[in-house]
This record gives sequence, C-alpha cells and structure tokens, in this order.
Amino acid sequence: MSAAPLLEVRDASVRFGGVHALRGAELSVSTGSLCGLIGPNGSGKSTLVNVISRLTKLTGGALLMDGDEIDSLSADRARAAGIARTFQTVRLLPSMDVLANVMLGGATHFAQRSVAVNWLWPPRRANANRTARQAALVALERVGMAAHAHARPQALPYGQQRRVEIARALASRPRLLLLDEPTAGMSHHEREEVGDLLMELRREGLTQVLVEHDLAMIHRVCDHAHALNFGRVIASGSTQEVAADPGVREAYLGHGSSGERAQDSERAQESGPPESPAKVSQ
Amino acid sequence: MAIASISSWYAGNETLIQNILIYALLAFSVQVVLRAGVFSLAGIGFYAIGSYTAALLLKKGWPTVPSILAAVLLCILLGYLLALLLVRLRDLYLAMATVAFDLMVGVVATNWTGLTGGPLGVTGIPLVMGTLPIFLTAVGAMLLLGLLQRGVLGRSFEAIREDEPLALTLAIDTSRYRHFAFVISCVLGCLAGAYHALLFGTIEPTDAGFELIVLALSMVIIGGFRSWAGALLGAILLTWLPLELTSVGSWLNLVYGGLMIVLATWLPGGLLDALRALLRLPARLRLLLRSPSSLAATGEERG
Amino acid sequence: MLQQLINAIVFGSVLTLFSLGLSLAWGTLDVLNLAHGAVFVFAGFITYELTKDSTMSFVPTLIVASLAAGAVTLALELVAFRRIRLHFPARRQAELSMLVVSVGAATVIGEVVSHQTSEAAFSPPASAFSIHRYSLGGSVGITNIQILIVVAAIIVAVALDQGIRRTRYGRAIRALAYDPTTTQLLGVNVGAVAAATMFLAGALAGLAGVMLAIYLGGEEVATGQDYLLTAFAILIVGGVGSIRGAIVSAYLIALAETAVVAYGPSQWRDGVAFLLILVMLLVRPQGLFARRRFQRA
Repeated sequence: MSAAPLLEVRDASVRFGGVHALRGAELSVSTGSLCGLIGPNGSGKSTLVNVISRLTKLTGGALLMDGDEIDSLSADRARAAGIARTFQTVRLLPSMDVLANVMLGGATHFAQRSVAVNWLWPPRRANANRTARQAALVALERVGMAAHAHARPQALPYGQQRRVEIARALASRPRLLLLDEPTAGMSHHEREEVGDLLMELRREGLTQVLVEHDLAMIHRVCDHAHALNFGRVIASGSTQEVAADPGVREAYLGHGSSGERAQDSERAQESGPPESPAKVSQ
Repeated sequence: MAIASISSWYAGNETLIQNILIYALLAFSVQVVLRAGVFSLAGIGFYAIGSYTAALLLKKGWPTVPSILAAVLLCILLGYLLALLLVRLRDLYLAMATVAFDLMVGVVATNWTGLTGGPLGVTGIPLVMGTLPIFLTAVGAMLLLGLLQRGVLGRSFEAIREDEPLALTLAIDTSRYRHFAFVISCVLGCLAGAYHALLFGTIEPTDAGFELIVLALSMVIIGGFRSWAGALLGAILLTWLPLELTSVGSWLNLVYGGLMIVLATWLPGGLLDALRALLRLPARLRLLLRSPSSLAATGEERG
Repeated sequence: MLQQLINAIVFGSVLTLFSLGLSLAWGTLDVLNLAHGAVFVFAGFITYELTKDSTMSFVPTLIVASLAAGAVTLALELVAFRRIRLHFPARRQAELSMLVVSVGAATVIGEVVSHQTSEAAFSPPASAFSIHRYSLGGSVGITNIQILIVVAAIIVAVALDQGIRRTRYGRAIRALAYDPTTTQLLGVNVGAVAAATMFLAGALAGLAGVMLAIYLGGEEVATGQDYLLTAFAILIVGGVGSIRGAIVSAYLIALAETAVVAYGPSQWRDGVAFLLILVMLLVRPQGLFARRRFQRA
C-alpha cells in the first residue's frame, strides 16, 4: 500500500515562550488510513492536533495537505478545506439542542461566505438552513444519535455527547478527521462502540488521526501509529512495532520498567479522571 | 370611539414613544455586540458622532435624508477602522477601550469648539424628524436583528460568544463576524444619536457620557441580551418607569441598580428569559397534571 | 514648578491607593469593579457623617470609614461575585455578569450617598483634621494631610508588594491569578482568598476616599467616577494585575495630568487618560511593566 500521503507534517516545531511543545515532529498520514497518535501527557499530541487544525501556529517546519503547504491557513479555512476535529473535552454549546449543534458543523460552506449576503439574501439563508439540517441528520444517523436530535446536549450521558461531537465533525463531510482522545472518560463498553464506529468510517474511506492514551484501543482500530515524547516522534510504523519499541515502553513506563507500574496505571485508568496515565496492553 | 381614544392617548404620550424608540435603537446597538460575545460599548460614542454629524450637516443646509445617510456612512467607515484597531482586544479589555473611546469622543466634542460649539453644544437644529420615520427605522432594525439571530447565521454568533476557538474549527471566520457585529452596533448607535438630535433640536457634549453608557447597558441587561426583544423590553421599561414612578422619585435609580445586581447574579438572560419561563409554566403544569409519569419517563430515558 | 511637582506626587499617591485595589480585583478575580469609585466616595461620606458633629477624631474615623468601604465591597463579593464564579463556568459570561453587578452596585451606592447629602458636595468640617501648611521657601509649601497621603501610599504600596511576594496569602493570590481551577485543586480556599482580596480592595479605596475628602475639603458622587476613569488608564499602562506597574503608572499619569493642567491646554486634562488607554491598548496591551499573560485570541 503506497497511497500518496493526504497529510504531511515536516520538522514541525512550536514554542510557547520558553516552552517547546513540539520540536521537529514528523508525521505522514496516507489517504484512507486510520493513524494513531500516542504518547504520555505533555508529549505534544494535542499540540500536534492543534497545529494540523490550525488553531496553533507553527514556529518552524511545514504542514502539507495533498502536497500543498497549508501552514498559512487559518483554522476556519482549514475546516473549509476539509480538516475537521473534535476536542479533548466535550465542547457542545448548551444554549442549543443537539441538532442545532451538529448543523453548525454542516454549514461550513455557508460560514465562509459574506456575512452581509448570508444575512440579507433570503434564498441563501433558506438553502443553508436546509442543507445544514440534512447534513446534520445524516451525521447524527451515522453515529447512532438521530433519536436524540432535539435533546439538550447537557441532558445526554457523556458517551453520547462525545458521539454528537463526532457527528458535528462529520457533518461537513471532511477529508481528514482529527480525534483528540474521543474515548477519554468513557466506560469500557462505550469505548468499544466508538472504536467500532471509527473502523466503519475508515472502511468508508475517511482518513483519521486518533489521539489516544490507550494502547489497546490503538492496537485494535489503527493501521499504523506514531508515538510522541518531548515534542518529537520517537517511533512510527505498525501498531505492533510502535508498542514494542523500547523508546515507547520507556516513555510510558519510565526507567527500569516492570509490570508493576503498568498495573498501577491500569488501576488508575479504571477509576481515575480522563487525564489518568496510560494503559499498556500486555 | 376606540380610534379617538387611541389617538388622544398617542397625543399625550408622543414624546415618550419617541424616546422609547430612540433608546431602543441605542439598546439594540449594545445588544447586537453582546450577543456575538463582542464586549463593545462603542455604540454610545457613535451616538455622539451620529448626532453631531447629522445636525451640523443639516445646519449647513443639507437636506434631511442625505444628512442622516452621510452620518451613517461616516459611522460605518469609522466603526470599521475602530474594529480593525481593536482587533486584538477581547472581553474586559475591549469594554474598557470602547468606554475610553466614548469618553474621548466627549472630550473632543467639548474642546473642538470651532466645529462642535464646545461645551455649549449645538442648538437650533431644524426639527425635521417625525415619529413615523423613527418608528419605521426601529421596526426595520427589529426585523433585521431578528434575521441576524435566527438560523445557522444566528447560531454562528452564539458559537463565537460561547466558544471562539470552537467556532473557528467550524469554519466560522470569527474576526469577520466580530467586525460585522461591531459595525452594525456603530450604525445603530449613530442612528439613535442622529434621530435624537433632529427630533429635539439640541446637542450637548455631555449627552453621550458615562451615564448614557450605564443606561444603555442597564436596558440590555435588565431586558435580556440574548435577543433584540430583550433590549426592546429594557428600553421600554427604563424609559417608561421613571415617568410612572414619579412618587418613588430619586429612589428609582436604586431600584435599577438593585435590579441589575439581582438579574446579573441570578438571571443572566434578563427579564425576557423570566417572561418566557413564565409563559411556558402553564403548559408544563398542564403536562404534569395530565400525566405526571410522562416527565419522569423522558427524564429516565435521558439519564 | 516645585509646587506642581509636590501636587503631582500627592495626586499620584491618591491614585496609587485608589488603583491598587482595582488592579488586585481584576488581576486575580477577573472583576472589573466599576463600583470602586462609588465605594471610594462612600468612605468620604462616612467620614463626613462621623465628623460633622465633631463626635469622632481623625484616626478612628479613618479606620471606621475604611473598614466600612471594605465591608461594602466584601458584601458585593459574598452576595453576587461568589455565586457568579460558581454558576457561570464560561469566563466571558462571568466577566460580563460581574461587571454588570458592579455597575448596579455603583448606582445603588451613589444613589444612597446622593440622597443622604441632597445631591450636593459634602465636606467634613475643618475640625475633623486641622491642616497645617509648612513653607518650603517662597510660595512653595506642603500641608500635613499631603504628607500623610504620600506616607500612607508608600506604606500601603510597599506592604502590598512585599505581601504578595512573600506571604502565604500572596502566594495564593498569585496562584489564583494564574489558574483558578488548579489553585482550587491544590487545596487553597479560593472563596476565602477572594473574599479577603475584595475586602482589601474596598478598604484601600476607602482609605483613599477619606484622605481625599479631607485634602480637597469635599467630595461628591461624581468624584468617584472621575477617579475610576483615571484608574482605568493606570491599570492599562501599568498592566492589569501588576502592583509595581500600577504604582509607577499612577505617578506617571499624575505627573502628565498635572503638567497638562499647569502648562498645557487644561481642558484636555481628561483626554490624557483616555488617550493613554487607547494608545496603550493598541501598542502594548500587556502594559508597560507587566509580564502577566494577556488574553490570547
């Protein structure tokens, strides 16, 4: 399989004041693949997702989509160009129902056009509202949330809120979907379901980047993976290769690692908050 | 008979109605930006700019409509420039910068005696404005603002207010939307000022001072900032109540102040939200009486 | 010339006392307290009430009036700000609501004071504090209340600066300004720190209000507003949340305004502050001296 890369990150670095969040990260995601991104907290995973979705500016390096540089694109343009994302925390707007939230994701074309015309030209308004609604309903159906279209997001259980977020990202039919820990804080069963959903989307041809703490999840759903630590990619390849990489094991388990630490963190994962340490598949 | 009594009521209350309409335009100018999460009070400065521009042009012999149009065009231009200048500022910083701008306009109006008449202001402005054009403008503004807060477009502004980075990742060019709300606010403030000047014939440089900022903000917060209807409700209440409650006299401001504290703390949606909740209450009660289990069932299904 | 310099330093000291509390509240709690000016005048009003029948001497009056001003601000915190902080998780909504509350409070306090004083300027009687003038040669002189103001400002400024840097309370304040959620998780009683901060801010405004009432010989409700607007400029020039920045810029602005009144077009005095606010926000929004993070886009 040697499909041309949809997305390429070359020698990316990001500095906030004196803190290096990324230092020379390299990444390549081929069209139609489901690429895992792992690494301990603070390793630069979220920064990398922010860079690709253009919320964070690169201080060095290049970002390419279909071989074209896109690092000067603004975040809104990036979404219009087909890069959609979800966030680590649920960010649904509580002032509107589920359908309205997802409709915002389905109106990206409308959102990029002149505000004045969008405001005052009735055909454009009507058309945008209709197409956004259709797109939203399709996306909600896709993630199995169509029955809850008129619920308030805050009334839904956590796992369902995350599905709505995925629907909002899917509603604009993106070419690349960035998922920033979509299963954080979910039960085991919910995680399995989201994993199934991502694999189905992959089968339909959607390219995805999945940020995940849980190596088992990466192993189950991803084609290949990149491991980050200290803002650099320390290993990439098939999920088995990455999981077996000594650098990765050290980053996760620390020096002189043994099963003890891994079990500790496994326990933390079960009871702890979404940000708890990684679980390593044995 | 009914018509006669309406017209006599109208004759007795024309000034009140004119004031309500003008304050409604000013309140809209604050509401439209707050709803978009743009914490600008520049509309009050543009109230002054609009009133001076229209009045001075009219005194120079310009006809009415071109004078007002020229004022509006000037405000669009200045408003856009100001929006570009303040593009990096958010929230409290923006609020403070726009209040400084408003007061700066007042200082210039007081001291640029050659143009503005200085501390004495402008007097003898031809009284060319009637109630009807103001009424039509206010109705037009309500229709347009109604469109601006509905559908996907309206929700885009809400998204910008509640979560700006999220709005960006939904392909919303937030700075363009913010500028847009800012300029609309400037135009509405400008119209309120111009109409006020041409209706009452005098301008004082202190008209658009700190007190007007507080009044406009009170109207929007008391009425409810999420909709133009809230701003209208606030404008009506705060213009009409002082006349009704003359017995309360000087304590009236105390009531406003207390109301602002209570509403901002317990009911950020303003009286409009309270009113809506009240209107929904009978329907809810009926539903509850008819089948108490139905509410519980939906709750269970969700939980 | 020398007399102008003395006037500027005294004016700067009043501004320092006034703006430190404002800066503290905004910098740590995101409260832009527009009632600060009203609280300031309220303390002057209490001074007037306590001394008009010559029943109380100066020092107890100063203490009672400052504590009263602190109590009013504390009440605002307990009634409104605390609830808003807890119930409005979106920072933007919380900031707006707290600003609106402070506008309402400014109206209420101003209304009470102007009602009690029949909307006129009120002046504490001369017996409240007997003013002596010390000649420094020629027509130049300095009064004991001027000296008192400068000394008080220096003491408060140094104490606050060192307190923020060295004490446990100071560390809590800095942590709160940096990241409220984490501070809470670290076991700091955020409610208590916020209450103490608001009380301190109000008491400082009160201290300034009492001394200004004696110094100027009178105050009215509008006085608070004028000082509030100048304090905005001080905060912006000095950088929000920066104690040293506020002190330096208070004296700078006092100097600039005094110079404009003495040698320039005096009617543009108010323009100085507004112009500074606009220029600073455009050129260097983080303030001349501050290192505190600025709102990111």
